[in-house]
Amino acid sequence: MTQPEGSPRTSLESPAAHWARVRPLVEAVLAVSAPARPAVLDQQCGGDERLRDDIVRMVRACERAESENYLVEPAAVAAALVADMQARLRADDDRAAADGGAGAMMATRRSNAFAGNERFVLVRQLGVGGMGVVYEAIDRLSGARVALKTLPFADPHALFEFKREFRSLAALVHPNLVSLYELISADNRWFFTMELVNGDDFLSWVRGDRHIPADSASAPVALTTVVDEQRLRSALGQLATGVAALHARGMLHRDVKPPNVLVRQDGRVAILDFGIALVLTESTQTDRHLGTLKYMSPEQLAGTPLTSASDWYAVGIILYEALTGRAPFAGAPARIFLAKSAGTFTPPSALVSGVPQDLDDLCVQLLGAEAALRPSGEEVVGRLISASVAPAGAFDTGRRPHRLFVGREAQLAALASALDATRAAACRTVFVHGLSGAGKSALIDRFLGEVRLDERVVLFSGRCDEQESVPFKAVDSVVDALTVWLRQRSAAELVRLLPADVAVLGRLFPVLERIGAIADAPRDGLAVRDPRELRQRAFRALRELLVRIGHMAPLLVVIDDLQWGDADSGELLAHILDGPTPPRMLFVAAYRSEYRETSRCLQVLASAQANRRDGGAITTLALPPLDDAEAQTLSRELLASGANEAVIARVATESGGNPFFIHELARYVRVHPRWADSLAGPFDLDRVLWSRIETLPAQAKELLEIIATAGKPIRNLHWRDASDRPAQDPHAMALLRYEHLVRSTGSAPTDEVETYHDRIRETVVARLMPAVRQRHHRRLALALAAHDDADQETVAVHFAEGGEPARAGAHYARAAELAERALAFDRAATLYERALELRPGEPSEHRRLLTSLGNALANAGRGRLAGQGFERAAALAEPDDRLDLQRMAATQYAISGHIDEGRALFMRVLHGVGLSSPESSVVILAQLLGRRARLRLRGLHFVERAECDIPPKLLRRIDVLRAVSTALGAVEVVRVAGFQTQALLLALDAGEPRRLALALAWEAVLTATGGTRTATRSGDMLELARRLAERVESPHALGTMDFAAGWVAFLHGRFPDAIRACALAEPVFRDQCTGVWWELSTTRTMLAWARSHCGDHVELGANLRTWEPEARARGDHFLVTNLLAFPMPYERLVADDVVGAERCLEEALALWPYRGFHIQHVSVLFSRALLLLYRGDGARACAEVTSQWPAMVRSLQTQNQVTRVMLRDVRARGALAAAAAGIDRERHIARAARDLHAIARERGAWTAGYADRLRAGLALVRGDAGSAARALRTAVLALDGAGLVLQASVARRQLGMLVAGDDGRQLIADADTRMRTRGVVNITAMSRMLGAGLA
Amino acid sequence: MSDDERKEITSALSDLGNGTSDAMARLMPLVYGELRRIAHRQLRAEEGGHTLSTTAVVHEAYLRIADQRDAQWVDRAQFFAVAARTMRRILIDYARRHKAERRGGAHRARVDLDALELANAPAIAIVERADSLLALDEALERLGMVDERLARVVECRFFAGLNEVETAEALGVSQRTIARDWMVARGWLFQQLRDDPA
Repeated sequence: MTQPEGSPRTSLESPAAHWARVRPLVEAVLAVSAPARPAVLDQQCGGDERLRDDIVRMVRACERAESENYLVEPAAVAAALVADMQARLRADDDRAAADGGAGAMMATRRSNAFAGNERFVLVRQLGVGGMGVVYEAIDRLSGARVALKTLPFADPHALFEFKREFRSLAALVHPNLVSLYELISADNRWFFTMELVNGDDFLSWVRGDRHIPADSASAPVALTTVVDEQRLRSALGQLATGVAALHARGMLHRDVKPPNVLVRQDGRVAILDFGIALVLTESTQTDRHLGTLKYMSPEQLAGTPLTSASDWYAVGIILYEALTGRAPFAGAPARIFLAKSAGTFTPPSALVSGVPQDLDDLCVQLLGAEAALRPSGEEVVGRLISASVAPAGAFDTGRRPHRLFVGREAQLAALASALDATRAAACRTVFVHGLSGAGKSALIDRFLGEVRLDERVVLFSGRCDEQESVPFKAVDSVVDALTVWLRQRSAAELVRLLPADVAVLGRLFPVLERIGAIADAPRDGLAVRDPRELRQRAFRALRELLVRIGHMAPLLVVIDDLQWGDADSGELLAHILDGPTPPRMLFVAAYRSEYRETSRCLQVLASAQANRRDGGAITTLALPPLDDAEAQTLSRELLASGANEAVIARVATESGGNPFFIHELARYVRVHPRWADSLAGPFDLDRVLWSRIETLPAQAKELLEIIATAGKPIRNLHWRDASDRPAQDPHAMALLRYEHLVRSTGSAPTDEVETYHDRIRETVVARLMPAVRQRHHRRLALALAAHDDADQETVAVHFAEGGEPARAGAHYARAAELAERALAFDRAATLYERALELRPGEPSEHRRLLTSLGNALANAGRGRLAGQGFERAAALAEPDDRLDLQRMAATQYAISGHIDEGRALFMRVLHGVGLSSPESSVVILAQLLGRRARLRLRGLHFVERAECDIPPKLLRRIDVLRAVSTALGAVEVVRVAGFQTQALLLALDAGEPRRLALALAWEAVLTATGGTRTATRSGDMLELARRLAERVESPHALGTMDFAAGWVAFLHGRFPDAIRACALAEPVFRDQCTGVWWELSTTRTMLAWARSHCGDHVELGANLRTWEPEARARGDHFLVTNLLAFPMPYERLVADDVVGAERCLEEALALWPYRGFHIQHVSVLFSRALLLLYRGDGARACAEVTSQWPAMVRSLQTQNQVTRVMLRDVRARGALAAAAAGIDRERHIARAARDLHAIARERGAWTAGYADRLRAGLALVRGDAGSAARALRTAVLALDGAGLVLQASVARRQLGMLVAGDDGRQLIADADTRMRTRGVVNITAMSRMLGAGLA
Repeated sequence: MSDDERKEITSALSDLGNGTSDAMARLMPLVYGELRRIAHRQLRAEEGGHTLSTTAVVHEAYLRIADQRDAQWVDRAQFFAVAARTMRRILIDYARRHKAERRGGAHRARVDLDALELANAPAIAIVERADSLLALDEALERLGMVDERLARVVECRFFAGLNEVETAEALGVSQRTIARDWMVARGWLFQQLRDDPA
């Protein structure tokens, strides 16, 4: 932009006036074409050169703007702006909300209140806490009412605090502390859920309606006590227990006051709002005056560091109020402060009469000005709770067993050496895994304890929490640690450490924006449109950051409980660890062995690491049970003072080396000192576990029983249904989890829970009364049955155990059906067996199950067992059904290779339907010819009748004949032809369309074996069959029509047609029909054969790769043999794998041990001849075909035109190859000439190509190149026309060798290209195989 | 939109029709809010795939405002003119803020994960385009002084994405005029912003 004021203009003219003058001229010039413009300009501007200049430039600008589409696409620009703006406005909203609505940009209303989402329905707002708003909400996933606390984060610092708050508290489960459930990040909001406590505040509860609001208590008026002493003692004891539990975990409440201490109707106290609770160790650094003035301790008011005594002070105030109905201190804040600091107040007993002495004393002591002199938590609890009144389910003041550590020297050494190895610029990964309770976390703590002594080591350690749903949850806490560390770096250090794209990383982990250098980093990296790419960049940025830190100092990254991680985290970790340039660091991850197969995060990591080159950089440390010495050491330490060696040894032995159990046992010993003294009475883990389980509150105990009864992981939504309403209390589950009695994959309804250890399950189950156990099973079964997605087998197991065998059987049957649908036939068969055992029921049901069992076994490829199943079903069936089942059994025997059993049973079935089959082959042939003649005479006319109008016996006969035809078709060609014709005759008599269509279609196929001359007759039959099939609309019938058409086309040498038709039939049989193994296998055979002939090698290869293993898995010898006999060796030869081809043929013969000469034998012979030709051994190819020829004739195989022509052709080409090689020249030429003569007499266009090729071969061998070329020309056309692409290419190539000059070379090049694109590896050998007269 | 806001918009539109001087100033914040809300929602609803167009936003805003029983008389043309202007203002305000942020970094907006999914692609465009957009705005300001209608045409067509017919309607001139205006306006801006020094 060089002329800010627009075009030059005369000094007197305003810009607008100038423009007004220029614009019409510009438009005038634009309106005319280029050649005419000078004239227009001359005319308009006269001699005003400046004006002319202006106009010319403006015209040019207009034209360029037009041609460059300047400003034409507003949508893209605007969309970019609007979208980006949108993102920022939303951030504004959040910030504005956080600022209490200040800073609104425009006069618009901001509706930012959380309105719930798909999962949480808000019921009402409960209050506004220190950081966020608390609502009562319904979790739609679980149906439970929860409290939901939300915080719209405006800045990363708040988010950091929030997450830390949650993490520090979520692990804390105590009956008197409100339970935190789940941390969730969704819809751009962060919130967490917690136990919803409906109850009175502490003072209302203990003083009833008579509670006087403490603020109004101003005068020290003597009051009579109105406190309910019993309630007070119980509630106060619980309050103290809860506060002590909090302290035991290293936390202070800092805001203990009556509204934060609720008492439910059942008297349970729940302390809430740890909103400002901070980790104890950091409390000394904070200068924030939090808490409520009235309940604040003097030290808190003075701003001095707080201790647990400060919380006890607040408890003292509450107690004072409870006892007296008024506050101990009143007046102006300054006065209160002074009074508190001086400890001057009236003791409760001086205000009201009847205050129990012990409570009065406690209150006075708690309100002591000197923090150090107040009673300790232990003392308070001890004084309030005597053993006799301890409520059931109160725990050792919520203290978790202190983690003692023994042994594991090898693992520690391995960790240390891995850290050492990173000094050599390497990235090491150590996975620590063990069963729940094996001591993974303890090991890591110990290792980190050692590492922390070395100040050079940079350590980012985190834990993945079961109860979180945050993005990249496994890495999130590590990034938090990274953030803390980065904040302590100088600006100069950050410049060196932060990678260019760090802003992108800040998007993934907003907490990083707490670091100014990251918040202000250039955002160029965000200029990527693809979110996947952006994510990749963020991954790279994190890796780069770690690489840089790793260069600076030894780096250690630790994630505990990695099994809870998500797939995203797995990908991120894999990117860092398994990428090309991993950081120089040690990565230690611990996970529970039980979840190795199911954790998404572990799966992703494992698959990434499977591809890793330097496998040595990954170490896996298993934590086996402690050995006896280690176990003894641990128990000795836990039992500490004065335990005798015998007790220690017992604990160690009984624990089985599981640290968790050692803790359990030791705790038991501590609590039962009398037992330890005497060693009398039994002592075993089961008893010890039970001693604890026994004391659980009833709801929790019942829930544990249900989970134990389930016997395996059970989904949250299922146990909820199976338990009584009270047990649905989320607190019960939280308690069990805290007590390490159960473990779960999370808190979503689809997450699963199971007992923490199998020993716990055993302990619980062993003590269940049979009736209770049965009841639990039954309820589990009912609960599961109500969910469609429940595992049917599990439902069945529970019904069976729940004393309902019939329902169990039904669910087993259902499970079996589902397994069958999932193609898990073996499993289906097992399940049907179970159903049969449990469901004697009525015979019809039994038979149905047996039939299903037979089908499942048949599909599982266990034909013999299937046959037996059908026979068993047949035994239960009515005589008519029995024959059907026997027919199915016979089919199974036959196709599984038990031909003799199958044949025998078929004969019985035939006999049963009043048919018979002679044994003599002469009689059989005579019968066939007779039936054919009858068919000719009878014609194809029929009267259509519905199935119900036809005698069942007739229908059954047709079905049996068809079954025999298909099952024995491969081994008994003539007999089967006779059956088939008989079936058609009967079907015509019956007139039932479906059976008739099928019979006609088969007859068309049988007819077509005669070759092209039969085209009209088989075509007519197919046409009639299809018309019938289309009427009955059965997929099987329709599929059969396509299949038969394909087969007929194949037999007529129309190979491309065969491919098309069979490709239509194949998916129909595969996807829409059942029990059509024979049709499917034959269709596939046909398709593979036709594709081989046509040179569709790519499709052929794909088919073979799917079908072959599938057929093998199904035990389908028929298809396997068919594929091995021709398409597979052929495909091997295309790939120039002669040995592979030979192996196929050997296996084919081995798989087909039946006597006679079947199509399988023909195929093997044909393939062998091709293979010999491929290897250049024409003489042997010729000899082998000749030697088998009589057998082929005897078995009527030569009646089949395709067989006949192809075998003759391959023999003749073998002979020609031999002659060309000068082997027995005259005899071989004569052999070829005879075969050529025979083929030339065949009808059908496709055979002409074969004949011409042989003619050319003969001419070549005889040295007549001219005739050879002429014959090849016609052969190319004919072979191309028949779709025999590869053969045509070879002929073309041969022709090219006979034609001189460029034309010849072109032909050869063309042919080679065609062959190569079809995957042919060895063109010379392939030409030998498919050419004629080539040596 | 609250009833109050609706009433406010209709009354301001009517004032605009009567030539009340501050009508435009009153309208813009109201329409601004509506447009922005629609943009929010559209982006939420269309995450992935669909590109939000300002045209769609403007049209929907019109439908929402006009589809009120008490606002049947809302003049579509008037509204489009206001919306186009508002859209320009929204986008320019935005570009300006963006530029300021890049320079100062004081009040950076935190872009969360959600936004990463939704808006990353456009976020890039803005980085490159904020400057050129601000330059365009300045040039448009000057153009408005030279030829008011040309600037309005650019607002309608470029900023609000209106087509020729709608623009003609909004500005109350013939479609042919708009076509000619649009060509010349682009030439003018092109010469100001893009043309190499002669």
